[in-house]
Amino acid sequence: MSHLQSSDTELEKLLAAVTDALLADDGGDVDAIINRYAVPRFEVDSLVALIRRLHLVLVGVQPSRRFVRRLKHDLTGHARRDVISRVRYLPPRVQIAAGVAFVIGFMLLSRRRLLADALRDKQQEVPALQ
Amino acid sequence: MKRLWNRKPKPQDLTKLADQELVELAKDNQDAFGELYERYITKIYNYVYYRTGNHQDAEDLTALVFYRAMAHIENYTERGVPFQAWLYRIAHNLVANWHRDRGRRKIIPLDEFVAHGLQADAPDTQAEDKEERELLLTAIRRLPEERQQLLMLKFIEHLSNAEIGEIMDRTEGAIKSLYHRTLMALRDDLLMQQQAGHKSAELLLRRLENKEG
Repeated sequence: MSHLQSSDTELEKLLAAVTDALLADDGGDVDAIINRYAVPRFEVDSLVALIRRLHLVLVGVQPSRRFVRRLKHDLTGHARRDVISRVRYLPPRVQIAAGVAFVIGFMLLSRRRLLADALRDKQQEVPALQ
Repeated sequence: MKRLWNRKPKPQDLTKLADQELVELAKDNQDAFGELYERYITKIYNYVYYRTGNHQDAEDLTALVFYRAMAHIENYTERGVPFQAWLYRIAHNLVANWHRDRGRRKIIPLDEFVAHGLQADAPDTQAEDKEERELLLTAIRRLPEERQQLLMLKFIEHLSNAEIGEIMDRTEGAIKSLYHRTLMALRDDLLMQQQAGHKSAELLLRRLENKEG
């Protein structure tokens, strides 16, 4: 009959193992885990069912995004990042490429505008000469 | 150009650091504290929410936890208590003070929000399930504080017995033993509810006996 007498330690180990398995979403192996320990089923079944129930009832909740964002702002004093601070966190190569693209873009736009102005001036000058 | 090369550490670099490294940085770097905040805000909020029972108090107390952590982080040294455990201890103390100040260990129904996490059942079983769930949550809230704390850390936070031991300042073996006693106490409480004629308790116990889970 000694195999029917479970020590509390065996039961503690079994409950811990079953809980770990259930929390890891590995519930299919629960019976195999129970069979590894010398604890009679009648001592275990209701406790394992209670663990399953707790697993279903005690579910995580999410704090509101607004609360999380506001508290972080209050704690770290960081305002929402603007474009300049976002660029500062980019890798140097990307920063340089962005800078070069910006300058080239500015030059192309200026050139186009200057050419358009020059062309318009030229077109206006022709009737004056006639 | 000099500023370009001597920029601050990138936030994505901070995400790769261990808690202990972040704690050292956080002593004079708000970004590092911000990273620690991102790692633990949901965990601490969950813990406080289940201990208080409503979102408003959970938000207030969670904010206090992080304000206190930020105020004392300069004095924090690991010495066997990891940052996570330190944070939970702050939360535990604040929740305990909250209960003491309000003079209430009374049962507070949890917001409906919790219900969304449960599996959807057929309509006729939903009402029964809701009653059983409330019964179980009420029984949990009747447990002594340390047992409630253990269940929250295990089922909500999915922490290991060793991690729970660090938070509750006990050995892993002591946590296993406490967990066993907690389950037995919870089952006994449900039995008492059944004997008191609580219909939901009877139903829940029948389910436990039938291993319906």
